[in-house]
Amino acid sequence: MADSNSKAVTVFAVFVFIISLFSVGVFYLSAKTLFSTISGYATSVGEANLTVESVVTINFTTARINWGSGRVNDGFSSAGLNTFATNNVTNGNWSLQNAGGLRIENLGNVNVTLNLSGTKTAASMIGGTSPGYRWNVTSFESGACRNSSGGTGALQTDFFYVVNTSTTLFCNYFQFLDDRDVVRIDFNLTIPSDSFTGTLGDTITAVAFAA
Amino acid sequence: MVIKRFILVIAFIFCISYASSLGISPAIKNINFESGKQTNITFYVLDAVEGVEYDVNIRGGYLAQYSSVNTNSVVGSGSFILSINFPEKIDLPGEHTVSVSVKERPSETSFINTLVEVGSIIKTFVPYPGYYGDLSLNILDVNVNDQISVELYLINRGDNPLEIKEVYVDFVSSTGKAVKRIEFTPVTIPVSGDRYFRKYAETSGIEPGNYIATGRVSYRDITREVNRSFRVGSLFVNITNYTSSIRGDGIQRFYVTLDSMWNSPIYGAYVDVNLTNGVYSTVFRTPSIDIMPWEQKTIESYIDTENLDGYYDLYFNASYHGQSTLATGRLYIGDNYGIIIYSVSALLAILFFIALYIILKRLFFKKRR
Repeated sequence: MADSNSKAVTVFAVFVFIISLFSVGVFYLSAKTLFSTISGYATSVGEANLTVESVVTINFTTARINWGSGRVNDGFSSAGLNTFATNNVTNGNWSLQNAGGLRIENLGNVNVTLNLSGTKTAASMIGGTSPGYRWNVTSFESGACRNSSGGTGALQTDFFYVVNTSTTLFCNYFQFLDDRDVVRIDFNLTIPSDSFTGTLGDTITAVAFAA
Repeated sequence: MVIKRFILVIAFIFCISYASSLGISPAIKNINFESGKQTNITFYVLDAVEGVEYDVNIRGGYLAQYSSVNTNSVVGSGSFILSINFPEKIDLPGEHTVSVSVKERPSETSFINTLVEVGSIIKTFVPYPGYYGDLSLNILDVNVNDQISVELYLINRGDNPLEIKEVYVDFVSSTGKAVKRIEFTPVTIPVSGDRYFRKYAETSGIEPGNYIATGRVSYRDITREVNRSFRVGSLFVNITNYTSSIRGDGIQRFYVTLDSMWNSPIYGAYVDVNLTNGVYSTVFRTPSIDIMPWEQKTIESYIDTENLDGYYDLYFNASYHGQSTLATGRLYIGDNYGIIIYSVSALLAILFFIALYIILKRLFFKKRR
């Protein structure tokens, strides 16, 4: 009897020992999880992140040119109209109401390409004998419009080009910095005495993509 | 004809009847090529007029054929999504793009308009076959005892991970002497991944002057290298030029050129000029100027040359930020022979051309006879 009791005690002791080992293991794992949860010790590295999105925004700050009503003066075959501050009408009686051409400003935070197009030619807008419809793009703020190599060679400030109905690249880099982000478009029209009559005009489209 | 000249041309107008401002964001987006997967990018229309409708277009680029937008128009400051369904493979590695734009519509209440169209470009890079690391180095000018900010940037442009074995930047002086090495911990950069290696280097032990920084990255049996020059400045302003000859006639201009070797602005620099010939001596001070980092600037001042004649020794003392630079030179005050020399030269040239004309004419005349 005593022998069987001793055996039972031994089996119980081994069982208790195994259970104890198991509980120590469970306690270790639980404690590890618990301490990593509640401890003040930082185990990860903080990171501050900031992203500034790029924006392309352009604005026609001057979007209207108006010479009003007029005609070619008697005795002349044509009249000349331009958008300069002085001498903007010759051989005609129009009156330019806002000199200085159209103005486009780059309001975004990246340099952009600037393409321009009209929808009409001189013949289709003005008509008559030898009409003229030309434009000239210049940096209103110095350095606003740059060519592919970063220079200003792309723009011929004293030269008027025939208005193109297909999109034409004028600025490889139309800059966004505040002191150099305005481009000016001047026009030079030749109105023959036998031109179309009525209200004449065109749509000028400015296209800007991130450069 | 006379009547025709009186025909009225009513008006010439280029105008706009509503918004002339329009924006889109993001303007540029760089994304990775993911074979067979779809990428969606949301674009926001900015500075639009509420209630006005704008057209959305895919404008072009190689990836246009794999791209679509969820709408053809937005109203006001709305948004749209561009989806790119990448093919399994693009044969041509390198950069490929697709562009999208937002455009104003011509006003139906106005005959003539100005219109704005703004666009964004999405760039994706198709990895080159093999191992290809695109390396760049950014390092700026500093002053002695400043820290040099070193930034090496590596993009994995190949279609295999780059297991980097060695990354470092060497500083080499203008005499070819290696003065410092900055080492970085090698890492593995996955396909289309990139990594900045940044450290500050102390300038202790580095003399002021011009240096070349050479960044090197080794992977497999390839070593890629990139060079950048930079300068270590010292608080020193050199006197590099001055007026050496002036006409002895009243008040004349006198120029001194200063060359800054400092990587910070120098405010209020001026030069004291001592002019002497052993018998006569006078000192004058130039106006003070501000010199930007590494800038060369000329100071204009005036000297009264009345009763001065001949050669004078010049002693310059440039003062700036509590420092000074000394230099010496010679100045001639007297008659200006330049005009006489130019006049005689011009006269000789005219005589030469007249003689040439006579000789050629005689030769031509002889031939005809």
